[in-house]
Amino acid sequence: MEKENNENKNMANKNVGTRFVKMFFSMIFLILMFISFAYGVYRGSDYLVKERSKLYQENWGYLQKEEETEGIFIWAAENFLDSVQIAIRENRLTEESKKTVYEITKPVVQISKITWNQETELSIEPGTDTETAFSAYDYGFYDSYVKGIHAAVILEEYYYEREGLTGKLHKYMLDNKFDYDTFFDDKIGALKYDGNTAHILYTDGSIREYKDIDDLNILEQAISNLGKNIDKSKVQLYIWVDEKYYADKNIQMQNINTLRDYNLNDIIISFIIAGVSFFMASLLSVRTKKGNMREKQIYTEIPMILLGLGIAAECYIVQILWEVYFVYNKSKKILVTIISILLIFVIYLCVREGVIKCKERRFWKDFCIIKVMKRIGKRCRDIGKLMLTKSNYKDFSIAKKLWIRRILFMIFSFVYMFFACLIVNGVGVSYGYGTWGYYEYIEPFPVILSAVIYMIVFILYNYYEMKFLKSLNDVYKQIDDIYHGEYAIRKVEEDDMTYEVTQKLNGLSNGLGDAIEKRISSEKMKVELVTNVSHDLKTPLTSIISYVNLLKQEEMTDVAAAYVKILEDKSYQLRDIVSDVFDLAKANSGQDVEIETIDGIMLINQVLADMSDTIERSGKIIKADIRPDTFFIKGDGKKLYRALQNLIDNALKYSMEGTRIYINSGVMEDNLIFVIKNIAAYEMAFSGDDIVERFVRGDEARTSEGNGLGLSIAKSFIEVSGGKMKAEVDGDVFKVTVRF
Amino acid sequence: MDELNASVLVVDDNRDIVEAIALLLEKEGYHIIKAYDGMEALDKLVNNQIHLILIDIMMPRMDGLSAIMKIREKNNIPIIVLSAKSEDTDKVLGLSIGADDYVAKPYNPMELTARVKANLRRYMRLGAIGSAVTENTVIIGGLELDMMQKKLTVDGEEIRLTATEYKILELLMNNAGRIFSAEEIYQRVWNEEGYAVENTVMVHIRHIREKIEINPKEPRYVKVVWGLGYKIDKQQERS
Repeated sequence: MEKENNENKNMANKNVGTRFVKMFFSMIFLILMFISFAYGVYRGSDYLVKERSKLYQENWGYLQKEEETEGIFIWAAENFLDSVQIAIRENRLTEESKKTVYEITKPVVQISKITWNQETELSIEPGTDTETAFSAYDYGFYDSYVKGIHAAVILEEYYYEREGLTGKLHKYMLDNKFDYDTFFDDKIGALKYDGNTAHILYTDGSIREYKDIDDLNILEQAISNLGKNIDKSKVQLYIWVDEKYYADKNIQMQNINTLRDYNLNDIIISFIIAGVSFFMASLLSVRTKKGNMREKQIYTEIPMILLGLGIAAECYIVQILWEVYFVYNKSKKILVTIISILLIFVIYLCVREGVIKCKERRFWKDFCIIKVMKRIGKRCRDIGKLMLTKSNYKDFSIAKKLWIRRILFMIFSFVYMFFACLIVNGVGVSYGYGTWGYYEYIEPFPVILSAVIYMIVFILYNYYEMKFLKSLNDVYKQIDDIYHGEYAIRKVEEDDMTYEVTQKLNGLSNGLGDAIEKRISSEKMKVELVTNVSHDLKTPLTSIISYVNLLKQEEMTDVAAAYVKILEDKSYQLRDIVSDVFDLAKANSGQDVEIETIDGIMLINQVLADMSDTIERSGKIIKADIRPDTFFIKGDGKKLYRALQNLIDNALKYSMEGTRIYINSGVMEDNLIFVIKNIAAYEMAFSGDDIVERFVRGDEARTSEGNGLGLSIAKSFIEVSGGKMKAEVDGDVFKVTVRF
Repeated sequence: MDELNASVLVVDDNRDIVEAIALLLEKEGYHIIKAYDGMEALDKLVNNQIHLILIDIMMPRMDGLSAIMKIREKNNIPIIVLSAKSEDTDKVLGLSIGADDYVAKPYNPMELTARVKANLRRYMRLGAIGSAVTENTVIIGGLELDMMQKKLTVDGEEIRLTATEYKILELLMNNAGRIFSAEEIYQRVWNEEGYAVENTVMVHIRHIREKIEINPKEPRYVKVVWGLGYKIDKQQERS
């Protein structure tokens, strides 16, 4: 006892020890996870934002693409030159010592037939020749593109400059503000044109000559339109983008420039480490002792839902980073990191809870929904059972039950189709606008839902039908087995439709088995009885025969000798009867039979030959016509010999003196037929069937030899070998037919 | 030791039968010792010199078959089983356990006497059972056929056979265990094809039986296989 206690204590100590080790390691892993995750998020968000910025910048950055740059500059140039042209023509610009002279401001200024409104679209009445100078620009849309494009053009002693397309147009005296050669030096993006060639400074820093002929022609034309006597060689056109404007439009550059480049691999590795630590920590966390469950359990849904929310929240954060990358800064980064850490902690707790529940094997059990559904299901089943018992459903025949099920299903189908038609014809239909206009469409959800419900019911219905049909098949098989004499018991549940039928069949099979067993045992008993009886008979019989024999050898009077002779004869007769009865009983029970393939014709000849001296002594004549020469049959040779011997003996004993006995054999329809006919010495007051019965003797007075068993034995022996024997009485003719 | 003065042990639980047999055999000149069950039989065997045992199967204390097995452990004398059980299976069982002969009850007293005599003769003169084919002699059970001298000895006694009878017997004994149809026998013995020879052959076989069998109705040697032919069995070896 004490040893056991010590052992238990050791085990407990070991358990406690293991627990502490586990807890320790799980804490380590947890801390590792937090650290690596935080690092991953911290760096990762930078990386994410930077990548996103790069992506944006590449695809939608301001003046990042060559065609965009070219297009905007050319267009701005064209527009600027046109506006200069107008200004010159309208002569609104007056020199005023390097100050603004002409302003294009609100409100709407009527210039001949052109309405030029800064804020709204430019609408031109068709038919004016200035239409070609201005296209129908949607200023509102392009405003952002061209607001920061500055333009200037040098004409003779003046130069015209405008800040942005919609800014003020100034006319100045020429000074050294612009130098054609060094124009590009301090610019980010610019275009210069000296009447012949145009050069563009792209935002990536490259300078190339612009050679698009169409665009150059436009510029040339625009310049030509500036005035009649202009010396083109002295005209210089400058287009450039405002630095601040450029930077503002390309905020992403800031992100790209300020954020450090982080190696993606490092970030990935840190996440992997976090993941592995997470995994290890959650596995190692077992709060309870083995086998004991915690007292308070929460529904599994709670941690699972929280888990889902946590993961969703984390994804949402990532998405936000992706989409609002342009408002990114360090404080936001720290916020993201902290929130992520909190979320991962929540996720960890939920996962841990899930793991513990799994270990306690309560994961599915604790689902609230499952509990509720189980209760609902049980309720339904109870109601169903109540309904069944109340409505005597059990007592209905199988056909009726099937009918009821079928009818219910049909009703259900009709209802379903009714509702389906409703849906197709406009219930639950929505309307909407699409590319091609107004159309109506069917909400897919209710249609799909109802189709699914119908499918489920259909499948259930068919499933039960199939189960029933299978059960029916088994019933057929059981009947078949019983028919073939096999022991066939089938076990079915009480609520199976074939329950009653199967019970009855089982009873049948059992009863059959019992009956067969009884029959076998009764046959065995019969033979045992006969054996025992014959043995008990033979013993005193032996004594009788022995002593009669001894008596015979004594000296006695003739009368006494005669008596002794009679005693001897009768005792031998008794012995024969006992032997015959025994043989008959055995033959009837089918035991001790050796079936071989023998030559039936040879058998008949052998029997005739064997009995030839008995035949001679009887004084009767046998007319034998045996054909064919051979015919093989299956039977017990010894027994058949005995049977034929009996038949011939019978004929010899009971036929009239001086008559002939006819023995024939032949083959008919693949059977061997053996016929023995004789004229009876006495009137046969019996039928063929009677005489073959046991102990029936033709001689009613029972005076002659014989015991009435001869024909019986012959018939039994023949039948046990698979043949048939029939005796017929026709007047004085006694005929026995044996068929094999 | 003259067979006529042999000692015979008679064992049966029915005293009347033992008495009857004793009277029967004493008339022939044998000395009879009686026992009423297997144990007693073994006792008598130890204390007396016995030349032949007649024993029943169904006995109390120790039945006949067990007694025979015990006797055969040490003794080779002829044993004849006398029993009401007369099925072939019983006979085969008795003979394979070690008996030499089997007589069913109720027996014919004359047959019984004849068998006792035959077995004693065989034991005295021959002493072994089994079919041995020496160069010119075929021995099957109690039959000894001397092919040189064309002589047949049955249990020591010479039996006279006709030429045909001898030929048939020689054929069957030299091919012990094989079944011959009547046609085959006719062909080999008469050297010609025969038609409807069943009768002829059967007649000869019947004559042979009457000469060599103790009970021609229950032949031990020449047997009819109904529907197939005739044969002589190889005798079983005593274990």
